[in-house]
Amino acid sequence: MHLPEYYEFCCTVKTVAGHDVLESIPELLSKMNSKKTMIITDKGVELAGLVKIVTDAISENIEIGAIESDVPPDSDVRVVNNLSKIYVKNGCDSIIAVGGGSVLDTAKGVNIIVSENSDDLMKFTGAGALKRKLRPLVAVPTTSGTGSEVTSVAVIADPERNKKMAFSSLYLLPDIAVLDSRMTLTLPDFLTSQTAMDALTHAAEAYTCLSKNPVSDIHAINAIKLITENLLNVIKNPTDKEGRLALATAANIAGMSFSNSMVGMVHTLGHSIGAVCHVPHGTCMSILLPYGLEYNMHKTGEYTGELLYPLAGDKVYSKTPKSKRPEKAIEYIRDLNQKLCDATDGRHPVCLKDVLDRDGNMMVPEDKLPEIAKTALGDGSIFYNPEELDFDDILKVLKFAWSGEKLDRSLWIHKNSFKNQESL
Amino acid sequence: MLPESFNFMCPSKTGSGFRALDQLPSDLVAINASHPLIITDKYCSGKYTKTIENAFKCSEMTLGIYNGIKSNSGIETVSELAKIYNNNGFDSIIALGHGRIADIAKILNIVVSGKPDDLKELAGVDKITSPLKPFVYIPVLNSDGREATGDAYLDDEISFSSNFLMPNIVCIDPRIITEESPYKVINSAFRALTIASESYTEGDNPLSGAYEHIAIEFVMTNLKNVVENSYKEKKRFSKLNLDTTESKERICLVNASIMSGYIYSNKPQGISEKLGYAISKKCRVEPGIAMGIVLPYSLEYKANRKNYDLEKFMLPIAGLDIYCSTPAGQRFDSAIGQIRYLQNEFYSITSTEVPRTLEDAGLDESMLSEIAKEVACDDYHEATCFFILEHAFYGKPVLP
Amino acid sequence: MGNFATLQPGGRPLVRFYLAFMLWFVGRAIQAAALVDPNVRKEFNDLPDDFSFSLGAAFNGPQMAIGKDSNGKVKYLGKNSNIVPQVKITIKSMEALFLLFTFRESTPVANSRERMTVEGNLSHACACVRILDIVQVYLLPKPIAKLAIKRYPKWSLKKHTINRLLINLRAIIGF
Repeated sequence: MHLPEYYEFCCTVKTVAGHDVLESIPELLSKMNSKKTMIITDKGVELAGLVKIVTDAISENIEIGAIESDVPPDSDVRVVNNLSKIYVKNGCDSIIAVGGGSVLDTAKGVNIIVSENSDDLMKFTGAGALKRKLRPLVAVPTTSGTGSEVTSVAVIADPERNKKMAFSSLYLLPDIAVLDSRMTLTLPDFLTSQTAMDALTHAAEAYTCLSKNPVSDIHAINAIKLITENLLNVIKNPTDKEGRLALATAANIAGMSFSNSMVGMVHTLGHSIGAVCHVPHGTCMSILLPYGLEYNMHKTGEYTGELLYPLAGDKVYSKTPKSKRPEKAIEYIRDLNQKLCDATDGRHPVCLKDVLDRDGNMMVPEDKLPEIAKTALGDGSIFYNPEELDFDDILKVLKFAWSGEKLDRSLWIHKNSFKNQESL
Repeated sequence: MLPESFNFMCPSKTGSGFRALDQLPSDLVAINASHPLIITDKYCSGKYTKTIENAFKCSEMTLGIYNGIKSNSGIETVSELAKIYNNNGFDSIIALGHGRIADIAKILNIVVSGKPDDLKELAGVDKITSPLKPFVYIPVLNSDGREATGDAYLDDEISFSSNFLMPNIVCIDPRIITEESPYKVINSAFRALTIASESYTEGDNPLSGAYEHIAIEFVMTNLKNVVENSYKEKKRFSKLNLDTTESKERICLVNASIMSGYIYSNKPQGISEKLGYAISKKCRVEPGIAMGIVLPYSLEYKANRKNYDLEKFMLPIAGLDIYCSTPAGQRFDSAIGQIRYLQNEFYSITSTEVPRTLEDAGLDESMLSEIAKEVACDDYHEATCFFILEHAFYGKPVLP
Repeated sequence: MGNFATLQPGGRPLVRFYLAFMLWFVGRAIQAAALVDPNVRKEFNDLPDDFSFSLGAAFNGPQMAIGKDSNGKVKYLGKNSNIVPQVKITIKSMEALFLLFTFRESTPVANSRERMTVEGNLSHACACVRILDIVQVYLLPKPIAKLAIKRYPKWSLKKHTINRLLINLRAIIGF
């Protein structure tokens, strides 16, 4: 196992997972001295009937002070301020966030305001701005991808100042993450595949990027294994409770993994495509992952090769010679993407040019690629990528990902950094 | 397949490796602490105070250091420390060393975080309900992992157990992880191996899986080297700690112990662990060593008599490559074989100081039934415990 | 109370002096590079006017700041600048900064070992790091620079000789 010269690992969240664990929320909240809780969620989650399952699980000794479903797809400081007022007015003392990334980010923002008793979120941006534990926060994820229930960051937009505020502190980690298989049972197939590939990307990048460490490594391997063993079954058989729980758990441990080891260029490019062309995050991740692994292969091929075990199983791993494992692992990821594409009638695209919006228009026109590359240079995750990336590098990689061709690694040989690729 | 429900929590931040202590001042500031009291014993303060002082240079912090912890320190020490803590306005606690030091530090934390007469009320399991003062733990090579758990023992009557007692930060620095007697090292490592293995083979909890895997793999790949190195003739300059491989191997063992502490706080005790403690009370052998002796037999019992599928156990024991190249069906036996191999090696390397069987350990055979009676529980009846003990006594594998 | 003592760890004057000197030199070299190197100039041009960033160690360790004035001219602002930098790169301890400036840990490695924090606009911070990377290549001999950055760039002979000489000279003389 790879032991870096120095590493840190921290995930203070208590994760509770199972088929009917929502029922344990009241007890967990009481242990944290909470009596009245506020549920924050969004319209989609509420319409899917998931909030009802949560409220039904909350028994008498915890009172529900408010249920607010007014969270937009991108968390917004006005909503945060608004919800904070409701929290205070109704005398709540804890939050249950039911939903995906934006719901949780909003809940984290509300928790800062009500715990620090302030009305200006801006004061708490930046490292080290939060110095003490916030009020109790329970996260109930309704997708199996982002892993945001175990990450210590939150991004909240401030449209008036035209700014995105980034918060980062270990105190932003929820106290408890509740993974209940009922919460993801109704997730449509294409969203299931996208979010699961998002989690798989977290794990694969965590395993190959600069801050990898023993804990993040094993979490990553276990996450990939859970996904490859369950994803296709769940797509074919959406009510498979066991499979749903496995995917939710995989997303959770992949989240712990990447939030401690950070992620690299797949996220650099993915964030930028999302920012420029509004392509869903999971879609970008699944398309770009093979390219990221290929681009970094001369530096991290050994690690990519080890991913063949969770992707393909012990038999394939032991049969494949060591030097062939990295390519084989990437082949398995492409193959998985293709199978998901077939199983969802093309709603899980395998290259950027096939990404279509609801009206069937191409979401990433080829002439947008330079703008995406420019945006990518300003994404923080670029630091954690094992290999340097400049504008030209990014543009070339994007072109391959656009057309769906395999990355031609010989294009980089002249930069002399690829010369040690044979030394694997 | 995943269990019906499962959970895990580790509130501690682990920082491990090169210059870890240098990060401590800014990590302390991040948890709102700037005036820590270091609690340790004479041995550690003599050896490591300079290193700690160096790490805090330029931090503008003033440190307090108390080095009066002894193996029998009790409530008087806690009271003395509480006075020092309050009179000097400290705001956080750093425990440096193993065993008793961490116990006293945790209990001090209960005292200084609330009312002085809290101690009796808060004794027991999960009685503490809110966070205590920032608490940092700096392990040494013979830390056995109990320091990183939520347990603290004051005396035979009063003990505490709560996740709030777990350290906020565990800081593993190679400059503090220096050589120790092989017997003590093996004791801590076998304890870690036992706790991790029993947890790994009991259900498939993917949340704790990483910690279990690491603890097992680190012990299996590094323990033998660390033990052998301590018998090697010392090279010149060995005191300067320049050999990074040796230092890294020791770091791995401490990582394993700390991980076992995290696991311990999340799981009920396993049978080998219980037996180990009971055995060590009856003969002159440390609990960790006794656990190590019992472990292969209790795992064989699980696999061969309770029909658990434990083939996966070989993955952390032998590593990915060997696991994959070993045909399914041979994996569990091969894994147990590797643990036994290690034990037999230690028997000879340490000139029989580390026993292979309970008979070697000097346990009287007549004690077995007494121990079995003491440890018996719902999952493991008296007869079963006796069965495992008997096999461990003679070193006789449990066959299907 | 014979078991209790107070420790006052104190500072490291020599290390502090060395780091202050290195930061001073790097700062002036950035100012020079903004005039000489087209890539550095371009990075600065893309940053907003009145932009400034600082690099230094936590706990009142040595600092340096670089800023653009309203005419877009890049200036080394010294160690005690009164302005609040828009991007603040802080190394968690002076020891870690010392590792960085004795080339035992590269910037990416220090970052991956969580030894630094970045405050402010991240995309601007990315530009700052790229500028620092280029300047390091100018200031350091190739074998050392290779340790400090991820990929050693392929530069023309002119860049390697004339530009390098100019930047070093300007950094020493200070214009």
